[in-house]
Amino acid sequence: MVSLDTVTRDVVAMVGSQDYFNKDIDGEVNIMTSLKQPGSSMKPIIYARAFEKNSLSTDTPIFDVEMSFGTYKPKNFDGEFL
Amino acid sequence: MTVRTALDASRNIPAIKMYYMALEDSGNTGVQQEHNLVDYLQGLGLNSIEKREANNLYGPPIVLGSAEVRGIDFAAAYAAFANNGQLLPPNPILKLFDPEGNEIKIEPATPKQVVLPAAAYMITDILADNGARPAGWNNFLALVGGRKAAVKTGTSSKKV
Repeated sequence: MVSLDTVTRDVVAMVGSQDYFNKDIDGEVNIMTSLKQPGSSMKPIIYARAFEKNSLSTDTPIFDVEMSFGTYKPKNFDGEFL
Repeated sequence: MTVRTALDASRNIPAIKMYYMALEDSGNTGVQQEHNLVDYLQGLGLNSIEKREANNLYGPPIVLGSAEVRGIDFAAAYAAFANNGQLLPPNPILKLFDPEGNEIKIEPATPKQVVLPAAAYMITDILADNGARPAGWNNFLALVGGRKAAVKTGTSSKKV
């Protein structure tokens, strides 16, 4: 967990590991300064770029249907399409 | 569904469509398109995302979070969205003193405009809209009592 002051960007809190002394979880590694996949939290950042590059509004329709992009056939986290 | 609902409900297919819309115009090669996207991401301080060779591109899964980042960098990128798209590096040092106890002034960094203000506003507006999130999801916004706040979920590997 890392917490920044949104105005100054001061680091107000950071938890880098559950237990520094636990070797089983690599406790001495600060996970907040290590590389991790951001998962779905990357989406807003890419959406913002799409907003910059296209005339889209937040209410533009977009369809959540099964699709293939070449050989790539992504699923949703719940396996459903809405 | 709308773009708003797609992001708040974190649907993957719309995200991949938005990835394609995030790429530069089709006059460029796929490699150049991705490198331009990487320029944007690096501009947001996500320096662990790099320009890769043609046979090793991130491709569409990058929008689902496949490219690794540091949590501290990512928090700073999100903070830029809360500030109309202006990035400041995270500041780990609040005050600095010399051995005699005199404060050494730290020159504050200058904010950089890394996302267009309109785009940053739209993202914040969507992520602050609890009404567009699926019923039954944790209402994280209730935790911040009255303050404007935005939230996005994301799942990494389970290591803590």
